[in-house]
Amino acid sequence: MRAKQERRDAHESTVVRFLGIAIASFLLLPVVFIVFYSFQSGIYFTLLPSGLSIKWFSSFFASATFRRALWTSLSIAGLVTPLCCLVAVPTALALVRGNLPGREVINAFLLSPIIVPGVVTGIAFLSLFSRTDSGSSFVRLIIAMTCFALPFAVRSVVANLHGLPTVIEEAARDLGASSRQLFFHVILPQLRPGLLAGAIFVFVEAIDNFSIAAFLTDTRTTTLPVEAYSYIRDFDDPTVAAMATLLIALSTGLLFLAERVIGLEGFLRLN
Amino acid sequence: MTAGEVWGSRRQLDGKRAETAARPLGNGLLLAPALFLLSIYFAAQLLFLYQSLLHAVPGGTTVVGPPGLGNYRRFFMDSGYVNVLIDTLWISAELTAVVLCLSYPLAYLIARTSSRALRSFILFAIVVTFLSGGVTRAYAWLILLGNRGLLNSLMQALGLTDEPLRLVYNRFGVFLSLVHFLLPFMVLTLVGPLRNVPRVLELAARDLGANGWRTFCAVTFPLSLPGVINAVALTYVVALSSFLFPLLLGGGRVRFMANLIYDQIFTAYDLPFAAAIAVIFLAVSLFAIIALGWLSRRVSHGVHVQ
Repeated sequence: MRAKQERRDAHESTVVRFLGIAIASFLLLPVVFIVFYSFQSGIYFTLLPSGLSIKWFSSFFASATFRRALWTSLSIAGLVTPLCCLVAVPTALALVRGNLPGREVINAFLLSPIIVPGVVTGIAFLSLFSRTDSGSSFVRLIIAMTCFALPFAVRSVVANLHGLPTVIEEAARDLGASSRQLFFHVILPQLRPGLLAGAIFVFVEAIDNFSIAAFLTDTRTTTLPVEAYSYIRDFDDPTVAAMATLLIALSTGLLFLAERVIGLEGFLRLN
Repeated sequence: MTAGEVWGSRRQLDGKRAETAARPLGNGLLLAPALFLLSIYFAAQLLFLYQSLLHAVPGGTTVVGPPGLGNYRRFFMDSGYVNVLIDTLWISAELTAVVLCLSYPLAYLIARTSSRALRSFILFAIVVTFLSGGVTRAYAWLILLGNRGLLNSLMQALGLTDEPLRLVYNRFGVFLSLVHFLLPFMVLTLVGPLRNVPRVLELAARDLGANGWRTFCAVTFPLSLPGVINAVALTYVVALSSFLFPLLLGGGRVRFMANLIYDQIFTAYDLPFAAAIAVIFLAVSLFAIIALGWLSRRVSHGVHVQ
């Protein structure tokens, strides 16, 4: 009876497994396709490529606009990521370990930028900056991206801090640790997984964001997605595929980093 | 990344409240940097709300008063605009339904499969897709579905069609690429609730003679329902704010609310009207979040009572 049932289990999960593999392959299809396309030598996609080449990567790096956009995007992400982490740690401490009244409300408020559609946030910042006439395009992008990406960092660090047993902190206190020592030697090292996960999310959002950046870039300062969009409108060749492959390589690198340090499940906060 | 998680974290905070009452480390001042950033953000949103009450001078970039509801009236009087709103709400609902059907098996396998390799493969596919970004994926679909793309090349090579089929710059292309875009969000929010369904209840159902499908329908699915509604709320809200995919793959024929707003800025140069559309859009999104949140709480209450 039991064995029969288990056989039936196995049979049914074969269907589900097959479905799962099919859907996961559907997920991977565009990524695999675009990497393949970027290494084709022809200008158009063909099933059997006439040859492989890296000329679209050369074409990407040969373009001064793309080089500038790449540099702008990397600088924005490189500044916004540590900024968000620096703000997220004290915020999480106050929210999780503090005893402020109305913490739930503050937390919901802090996370609210995530639910506002990007385009709305983009125009809101556009009208704020055009009213106050402040800063260069780059500074505007930094401010907008920091406000927009902060919730991702706060969310990860708050979740991490929640999972930490308070006994360790109590023990450190009992052994005479000062608040400073407690923070730097006890709490901060334990926050590494949450900070890493949050940093990866912030970094990716900051590089990839289009809907906010579209409103804040100008002719001199554009980001990679905005530049890619205008290139796609004017040209039909795999230069943007080369850019996509570079971004996929970057995110796969981040994925392996996350996997090594905290594991995929921890990164996605599944456990 | 939205509604569900906002509630989720609130619940987390609730749980620890009693324990942390005596912690001295957290201090209101620690919140200052975050509140400063948040105040810039809300200043922008409020100014924006105010601008929606003004109107643009034709042909210029100046915006003048007096404040009024003219822009809002203009939106609701024009059936073209209202149709975009209805269309956005409807396509997003269709998208959410399709994405739910595709996400559930994936989330189920992540939560339940005994094969480590399969779980790793699915997680890898989800994370690579998720991290590779919107622009990359929208562009990939644009080429993949194009006249010379993978699908048309394959179908022509197999002799299924002589002429390339039109797969982009229409609803199909936008829909398919958005299903792909939304899938990881939904799967990742479904895994937690599925893991929380007690395994013993499923085993008990099996021991009492239910087959796998019956166990799923009578035990697993109903118990995961609050989580499903949370995931549906999240996916619906992300779908509503679709912008890049209709912009690139819609060819101007498929427009979501966000595209309408974008056109008002970059084609009509009418910031106040764009602001008014955005406020209406935001109100509708918030209403959807609140309604689905209410539903989720109702259902999870029902599950607990059982």
